[in-house]
Amino acid sequence: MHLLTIARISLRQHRVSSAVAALALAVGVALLLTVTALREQTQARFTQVGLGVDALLGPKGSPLQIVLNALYHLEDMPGTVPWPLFTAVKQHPAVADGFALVTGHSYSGVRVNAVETRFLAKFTWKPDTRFALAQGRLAEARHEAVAGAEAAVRLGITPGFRFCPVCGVDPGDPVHDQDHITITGILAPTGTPHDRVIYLRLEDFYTLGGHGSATGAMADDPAHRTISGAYLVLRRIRGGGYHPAIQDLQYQLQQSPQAQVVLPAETLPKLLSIIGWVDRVLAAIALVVAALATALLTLALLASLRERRRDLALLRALGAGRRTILGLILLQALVISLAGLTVGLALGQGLLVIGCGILRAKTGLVFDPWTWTTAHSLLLPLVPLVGVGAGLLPALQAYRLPLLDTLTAPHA
Amino acid sequence: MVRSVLLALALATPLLAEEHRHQHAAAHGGVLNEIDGCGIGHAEILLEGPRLRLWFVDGGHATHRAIRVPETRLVLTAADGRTLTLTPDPLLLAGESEGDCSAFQGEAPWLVGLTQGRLTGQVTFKGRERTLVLTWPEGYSAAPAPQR
Repeated sequence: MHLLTIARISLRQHRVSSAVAALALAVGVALLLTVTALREQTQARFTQVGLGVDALLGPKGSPLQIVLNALYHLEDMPGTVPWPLFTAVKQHPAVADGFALVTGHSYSGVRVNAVETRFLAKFTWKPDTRFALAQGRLAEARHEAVAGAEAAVRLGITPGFRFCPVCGVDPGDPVHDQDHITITGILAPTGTPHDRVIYLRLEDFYTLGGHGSATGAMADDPAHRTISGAYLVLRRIRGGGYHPAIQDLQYQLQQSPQAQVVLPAETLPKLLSIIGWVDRVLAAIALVVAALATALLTLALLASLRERRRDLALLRALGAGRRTILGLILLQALVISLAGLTVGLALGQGLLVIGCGILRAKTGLVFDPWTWTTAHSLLLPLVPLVGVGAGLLPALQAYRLPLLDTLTAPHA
Repeated sequence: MVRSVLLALALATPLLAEEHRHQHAAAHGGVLNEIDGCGIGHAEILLEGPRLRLWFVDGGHATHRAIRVPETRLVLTAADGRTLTLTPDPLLLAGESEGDCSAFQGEAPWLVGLTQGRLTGQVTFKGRERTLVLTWPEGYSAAPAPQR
């Protein structure tokens, strides 16, 4: 009888314990895969994807809050920045360009940000790539706006759609019910949080009803205008690094009571280091589960061996060598671990699809559940090895099985 | 026992003092010079060819915080009697102006290539007239340097 057939029969006889061992292994594999993949993608998306913004000009307050609000459309901006300061910052030798924005409005849970009209035409959200229109045209006149791709899908809107923005981002905030904004275009998807916003013209923001005459006057009087902040594009030196004058810009604004410059590339890793313990705990749990699964596999094989001592002795008596018996037990361990690996990968992939969907909904960043991760590279060779390792003890016991004693012992 | 502890503390004090001095970071990568002691404030200087740049900053660890002074010019004298006049270079983004400014700069051909030097002057810093001593490459310390 072929070794594989014998192993299959043996596994079938002990299907419950084998299945439990394989399942435990699968849970460990799935957890490790999910935690590793989400951690890798989160770090890549939050640190490597600059969203075209080198720096943010924001009010005094938490730099993290400024990044989350301006780039990821979460939270609120901690204050305002005077327009003259923004224009002065744009003149600084470290700054190549700047795009003012006002946050704090919404519609049906989607943020409505006011931006300079040239933002949608000139801003490069990734090197050499500007926003493109999927439908319609850019906003050109009063009470016109453009929707990001994801915002349009979420609200089910097309060019021509009209809405009244909410003055705030929380439920119950007042509605600008006198101001009917018309969507004139839908942007092509970028796979970034830029897709999650409706873009209003900056001048329009100041004239929305309910903002008061002082705010209304800001539309025509930039000297007294305030903004939430600005996206800054920094000058670069040969090699891609920031212009050294960035140090002076940061120092000057550090002394300013009105504003600060925030580098997302410096701020976001701090956030990840703060929340990093979460995935370390999850990874530790996954490792514990995997270790328990390995122990379970060993126990299942030992139990199977105890029940089949006589069968194995008979096999030996029929001419099977010690190495054949050793190989048989190791083969069983390998089959169980491969089953655990296969189910674990499938389960992990399912969790990743769900997790990436949730993260995308919460952050607007596109997470790809099908990306090859470090976990794949490690788990594929390691799990079968660990499985064979777990089978080593039972296999050695089977190898040393005393033929005569076992056959002559009273049958249990 | 008490004597041993006191002896250990006495031996450790210079080391601690030196470590303390080395903890301050110069915001512009220049040299920090104490003004009437580390806790009062510092003048950070940076020599770029013939140009000397100076920033007045706070004491202790707050060497990233600018301190404005009312001077509209600073006259510094070298050991050999040569003088250097610094004029305000206000941090416009921080709302500074001449007479309410934390940054100064001045140029002199004799500064080029000077690997070490000492300049002295007077400045109204934190409401009091104080002596300004600028040395490089090591910054001036009001306290004597620890003996190793």
